[in-house]
Amino acid sequence: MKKLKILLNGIIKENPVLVLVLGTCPTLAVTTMAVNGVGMGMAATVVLLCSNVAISLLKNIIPDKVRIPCYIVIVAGFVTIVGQLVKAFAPDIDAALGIFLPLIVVNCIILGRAEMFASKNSVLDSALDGIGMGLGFTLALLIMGSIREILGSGSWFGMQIPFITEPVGILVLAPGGFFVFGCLVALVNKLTKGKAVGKREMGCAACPSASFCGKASEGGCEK
Amino acid sequence: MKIVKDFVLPTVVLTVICLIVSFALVFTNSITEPIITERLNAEATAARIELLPEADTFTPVENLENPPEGFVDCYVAKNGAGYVITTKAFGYGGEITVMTGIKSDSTISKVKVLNHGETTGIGTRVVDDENYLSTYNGKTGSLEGVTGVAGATVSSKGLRSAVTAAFEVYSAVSGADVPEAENPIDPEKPETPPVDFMAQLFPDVPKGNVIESASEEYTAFKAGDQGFVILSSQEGFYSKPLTLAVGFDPNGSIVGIVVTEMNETDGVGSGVGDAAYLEKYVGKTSAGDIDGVENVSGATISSTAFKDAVKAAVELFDTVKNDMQSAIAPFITKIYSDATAEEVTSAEVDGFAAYKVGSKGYIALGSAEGFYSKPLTLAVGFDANGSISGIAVTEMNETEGVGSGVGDAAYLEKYVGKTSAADVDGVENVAGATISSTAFKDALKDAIERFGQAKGVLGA
Amino acid sequence: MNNLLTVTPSPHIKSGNSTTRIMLDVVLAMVPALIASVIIFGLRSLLLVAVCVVSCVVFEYLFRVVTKRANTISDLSAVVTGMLLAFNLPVTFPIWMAVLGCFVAIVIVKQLFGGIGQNFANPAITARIVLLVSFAGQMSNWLIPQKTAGGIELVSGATPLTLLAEGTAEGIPSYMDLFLGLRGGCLGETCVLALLIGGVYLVIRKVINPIIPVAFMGTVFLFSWALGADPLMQLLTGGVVLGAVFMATDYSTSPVTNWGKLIFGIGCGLLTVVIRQFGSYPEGVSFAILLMNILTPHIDTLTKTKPFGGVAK
Repeated sequence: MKKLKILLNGIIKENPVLVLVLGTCPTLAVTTMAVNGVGMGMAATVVLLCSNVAISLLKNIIPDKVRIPCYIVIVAGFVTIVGQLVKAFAPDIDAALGIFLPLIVVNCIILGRAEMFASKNSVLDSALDGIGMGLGFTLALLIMGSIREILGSGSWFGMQIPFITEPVGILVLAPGGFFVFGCLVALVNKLTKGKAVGKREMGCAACPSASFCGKASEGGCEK
Repeated sequence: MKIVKDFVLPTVVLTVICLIVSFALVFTNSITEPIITERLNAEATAARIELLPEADTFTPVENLENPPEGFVDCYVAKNGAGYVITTKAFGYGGEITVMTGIKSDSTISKVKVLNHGETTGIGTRVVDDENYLSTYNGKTGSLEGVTGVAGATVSSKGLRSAVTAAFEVYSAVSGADVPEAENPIDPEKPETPPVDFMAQLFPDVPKGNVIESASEEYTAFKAGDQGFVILSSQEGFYSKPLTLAVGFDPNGSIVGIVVTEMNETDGVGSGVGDAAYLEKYVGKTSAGDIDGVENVSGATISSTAFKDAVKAAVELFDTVKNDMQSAIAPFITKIYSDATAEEVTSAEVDGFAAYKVGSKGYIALGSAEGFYSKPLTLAVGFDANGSISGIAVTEMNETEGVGSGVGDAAYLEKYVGKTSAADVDGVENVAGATISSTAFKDALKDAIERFGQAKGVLGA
Repeated sequence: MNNLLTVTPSPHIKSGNSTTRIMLDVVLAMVPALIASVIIFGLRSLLLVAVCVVSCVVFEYLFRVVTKRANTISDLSAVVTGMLLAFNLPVTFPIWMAVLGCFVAIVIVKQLFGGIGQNFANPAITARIVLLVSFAGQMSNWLIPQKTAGGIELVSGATPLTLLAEGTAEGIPSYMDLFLGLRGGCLGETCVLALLIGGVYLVIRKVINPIIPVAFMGTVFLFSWALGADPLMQLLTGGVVLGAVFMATDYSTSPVTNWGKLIFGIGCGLLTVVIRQFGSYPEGVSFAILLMNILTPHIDTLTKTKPFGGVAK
């Protein structure tokens, strides 16, 4: 069931936030409340799906030299459309996400998956990957958002939790976000016994040494 | 071919993609934009209507000259219901954006905080608390009666500044006269102590023998049997109050004047407060006498105001004397509810007043230093055998809610029937107010000692 | 060149210095301040200190057990962290929040980064900041000691620094009161006299180098004076003396060389005064020390001494 494997990949084994450590910026910013995290996750999933499909469709047309600008234009287009639609039909989500909705453009997950997967795989596979990664992103945001909201504000999805009388305020601020993030990454590491994803599968785009690695010009470690 | 492959093709592809994406965006925008603009306008108007419910529609007020600092926007209601003005001011954690609705009668309808960065649990008690924000409702531009939230002074001041700025805008655009906001609030600042005119005019009156009488017509004091003090106020040079305490002997001639409040020009009108000038009025009894005193040179208006105040007091003298002739100190009636002025005899013991109330009993006063080293004075009623029949607190400066418990009726009850200092010590303290309770007991024991002397002086 | 580098074969004389000895000295140096806090704030301060010390030791022990590493609680550094953290709390602070603070200090700031000697910032200071941001209300719930006929009574109110920040002149204690600690504040920061006694002890025992505390306090004094604030008042209020003597001098988070220490101390002083005068927090010591801790590696790089016999670049 290779198709299913692709879908499930993004949820745990290659969770974009907790394993691939992509898209941390919006993660830390919007997870002050669980509902914001879910909203961001769903918006990002829609964009991810659309952009993966579009890029996969165009993968043979877009020349290698201009692939990054092309990807960015396409992604930016989708994000803007989604942003406009949200602003018009779901203004509460728009108010909650604020600047981070347009910032999905530079969310590493989208560009990262476009480079690592969509440009090399079929449309259907890319679509599945997009959905899977998006779900994984949403899940991670939901978990982080819930922890931060419950312990930091004493509520969950806006409903007051009765026995949390003294919320730990720092969790809804930046330092607390990092604390929770670190703990979650450690937890996932422990659960997958640190073997979640090897360097070879990640591709050059996600590798920090890409700029001075000899293998980058050859197409990466995996080839 | 290489040129095509390396330069032309990429350029073409990129351009085509950009065009397609642009078209898609234009299309989406044309659908969503009207919806968005309409919603934003509706939200803004709804916010304004919330502040000024009687309004119909709002139009923005443009071209404000010299808007005060922090001005954001100003909207006027078409039907004249009032204005909604948005202003900003600095609080504890950045700027507080406030929307103020001002009705056509220049009072605040409602205040709404749009944006803030105040600390949760501290500053948010100011900006997020509906109960606190509603204390602004109905206030005029002077913001009289608005106090700060204890422990959140900076946030309170920020909110207040924003509202004050809104009033500045309001008076500019509406032309209405707006009373100035008074000095910024300081919830922890203690009140300035009142001028002790009684001590200056009648220094020999024993403590506890001063009776106050305040009514619509006058505020006056009876200084034992030595005379009366009448407070009188007039508008001075700047239309600000000039308040005097005029002391009279029992026949109505002035024994002295103390200026308790003055806003005259320093060095000019302030001369009316000089001791040498006040001396000139001693012994005067009628309005004619007063007019006969010269003015302070170069300060005609201030002098006239001063004299008007003195004349008003002189005019009231007869009324005051009549009313207060038979007045007895309120604490006497508190202890002996049916006491009448005729049966009360008083004497001075140790600088304090002591009373014999017919055959009902005696009253002796006692005092001690309380928690803040300020006096705690009691009037203690004794029966002929020296056992306590009742206690009234005449002066107390203890902490509200803590030491003030010594003044509670239930606590005072505990001492009824006690006769000696040992008895007094046997009564428990008010919980959590050890210092105040100890002071209370010291004052009580002081009164018990004084009772012995009083009984001797006043007779059995 | 004679005595700079002596290399001889064993036997050598053991100096008796160990982490435990040093930490014990620090604990002893904090005892005067502890006694003062009990006198001023009552027995609850002893309770808070005890809870913090026990929590820190327990957390360190548990962490080492869970991560299967050697047990380090005998080096007493957890005890020191516990006492210092308690000294940074107001006497009314809830116990469970103090325990949470100890968790942050020991597990997050110290152990997760590698244990003693590897922490990037002073654990007690960082935990204090976390608690301040999380529980702003409880961390600002001060009791002011009032000298009265019956001894010392505690009333809730504002600390002198808060009063200064609000611009009120009333209610600020006299210099002698500030020196002896009769003012509102955290458990350990109020009695300057006790803290100085501890500091002198530490200098005599060669546990701390006096450069950092002197530079820190001196800079606070001079810079406040230059800005027009009362320099003696600034020195005696807030946590300057506590921070300068006990927390800025933490070995692993302050520079190694004397020049580095000087820069560190001056930096702490400057930041403290800037935050107090221009920032919205009334107290700046904790943030100042944290920021300088983070800069310490760079200060060390800048003030590196030239190694002997190195190749000329």
